[in-house]
Amino acid sequence: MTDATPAISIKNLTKVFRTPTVRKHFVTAVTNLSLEVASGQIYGLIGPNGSGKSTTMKVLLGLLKPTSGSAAIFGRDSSRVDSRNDVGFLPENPYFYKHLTGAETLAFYGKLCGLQGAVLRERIAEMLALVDLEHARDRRLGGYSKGMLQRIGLAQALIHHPRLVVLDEPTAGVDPAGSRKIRDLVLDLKSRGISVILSSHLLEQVQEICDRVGIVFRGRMVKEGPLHDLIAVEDQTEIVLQHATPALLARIQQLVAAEAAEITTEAGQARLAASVVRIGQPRTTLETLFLQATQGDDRGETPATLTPTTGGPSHE
Amino acid sequence: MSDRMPSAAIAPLRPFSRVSPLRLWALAAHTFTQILRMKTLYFLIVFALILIVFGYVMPPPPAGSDLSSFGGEQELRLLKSVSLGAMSWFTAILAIAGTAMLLPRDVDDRTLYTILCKPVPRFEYLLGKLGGVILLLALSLLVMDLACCAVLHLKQSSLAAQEIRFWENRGELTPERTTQINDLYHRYGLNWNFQSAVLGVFLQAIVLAALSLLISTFATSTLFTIMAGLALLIIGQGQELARDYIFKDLLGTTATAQHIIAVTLALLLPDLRQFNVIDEVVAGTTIPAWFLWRMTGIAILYLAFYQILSWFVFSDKEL
Ligand SMILES: Nc1ncnc2c1ncn2[C@@H]1O[C@H](COP(=O)(O)OP(=O)(O)OP(=O)(O)O)[C@@H](O)[C@H]1O
Ligand SMILES: [Mg+2]
Repeated sequence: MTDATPAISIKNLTKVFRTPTVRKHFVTAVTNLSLEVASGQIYGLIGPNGSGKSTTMKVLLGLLKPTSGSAAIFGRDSSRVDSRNDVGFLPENPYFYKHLTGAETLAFYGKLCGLQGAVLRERIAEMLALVDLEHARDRRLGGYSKGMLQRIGLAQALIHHPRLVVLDEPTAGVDPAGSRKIRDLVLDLKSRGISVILSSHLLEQVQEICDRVGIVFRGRMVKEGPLHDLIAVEDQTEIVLQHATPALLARIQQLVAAEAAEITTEAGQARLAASVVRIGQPRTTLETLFLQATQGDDRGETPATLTPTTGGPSHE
Repeated sequence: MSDRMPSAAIAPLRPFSRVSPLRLWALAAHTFTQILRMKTLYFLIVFALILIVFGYVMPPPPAGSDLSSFGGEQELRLLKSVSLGAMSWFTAILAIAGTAMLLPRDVDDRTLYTILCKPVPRFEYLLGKLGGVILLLALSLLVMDLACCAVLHLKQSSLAAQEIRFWENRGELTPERTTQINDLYHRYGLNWNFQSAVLGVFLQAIVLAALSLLISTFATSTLFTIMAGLALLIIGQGQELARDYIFKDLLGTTATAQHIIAVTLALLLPDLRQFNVIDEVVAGTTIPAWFLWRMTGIAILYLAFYQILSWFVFSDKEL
């Protein structure tokens, strides 16, 4: 890695909300959470509803103050305004000024980032093309669909060439095709050296595009590491075939069954017989991991038997 | 994986300036359209109606035998008094109500997230909001002012012409009398002095806007902000009891605690009477330039004070 400064560095972040009730009532949204996103990486933050993903992102953007711990973007603390120079943010369920058109919205946010004149106009056209909203450039956002809002949100997050993009559920409410486009866009950002952190409930997509994944549960990081290490299930082998005929599949199953029969007749059973778990289209295993990791108790410990062995560094 | 890509493609760091006129302008211009969309222009229509009623629908002056019984000047005074009064109240309410909604709306809609996650200092955001309000107030006041001037001018010329005709018919029109009539109508009609009162109205409105913005940074509801703003407007415009209590009774006491309360209140409750020269202008007294400068200076001090307080509250606000 040529750039040593991590794009994101969150250290021991804790965020406690004080809810305005009569009795002192505190909600701990994030507890002692640490994560680092190397420059150029795509990081996926996953976790059930209310586990503190959005809160973490808001702290990262200086919208919330950490109760303890710190967050930094390219080495600059999030409390500093200039740390925002390098980052684009798409909030969850983004909502923009309804009375502005798509182009006006981008112009507004572009100006806030210091763009103007011909450079701004060019960038607006570029962004509208990127998110496929050229046809709606002069329509008011009040008339945009949810997916269109999400896309204009993405465009406004990218308008100032940020080196880091923070996407809070970028594909929420977007149809499968649109969702796929957003996925491609994120990969395209990566190919241009832009770091991305995203939260999502679409684990399949996270698995497809992320280099590193963190699973948060009730505010704590319960599993973290390079995706490939996390989802490797060592005692399973997946065979993916193209254009397989039913006859071929039947023969494979026969082979497996034959071997299993062989082992069982060997009586001793020194080794386990192979068995067909399933044959079909590859299914996400991140989903399985997710469910396992987030079913534990408050401390987020998962039953040992279900934990896949990981080679990568794991926080906590 | 990630080290496949060289970081050469990463754009270099852009310079960041703490205060940027471009950002301020973008925020102010946007705020301007935001308030405009709150149907604030209805205010101007109501204002125009009042102007028309008092300018034209009022009964014509009775034709008397001599100059004093003409009542033309009375009519001009009334028109001025009513239009300046209406201007003052409309801009004040526009300032309070228009500003009160700005912050809560951005917070509720979560559009504030999208703004503050850009390199926009929170102080600049507040300044931009205030700037937009001031812009709107200035423009609506300009429209009202122009309308008033037009009506005043028409009224004044028709009244003068009417009176000159009257003397002409009696064959008693001397050049001196013509000058006298024109001078009189000029004094009570349209003149630069009228603009002094408009300046006062403007300054009062922007002070109220800054105050309303301050209240909205900690208020939990827009309604509270508007009510508090209106209460401060009424106290500030000199409901004698409240003012006397605060400024004479409390400030005059020797007890330090009460004194401190009084000073704080005096700072937080703007003395809006300092901006009110409507009565003097209507009476035909010329407002000296030094007074206008003083008035402007006081308004700027209030504005700065309220902005800094707003920033104090807002910079720690959890969104
Ligand atoms: N402003 C706030 N005041 C009080 N509690 C809050 C506030 N914001 C968030 N919380 C609480 O903090 C916890 C984490 O919320 P957060 O929005 O970060 O979850 P999330 O992981 O983004 O969930 P989702 O997947 O539903 O978006 C929740 O219990 C939530 O109720
Ligand atoms: Mg969320």
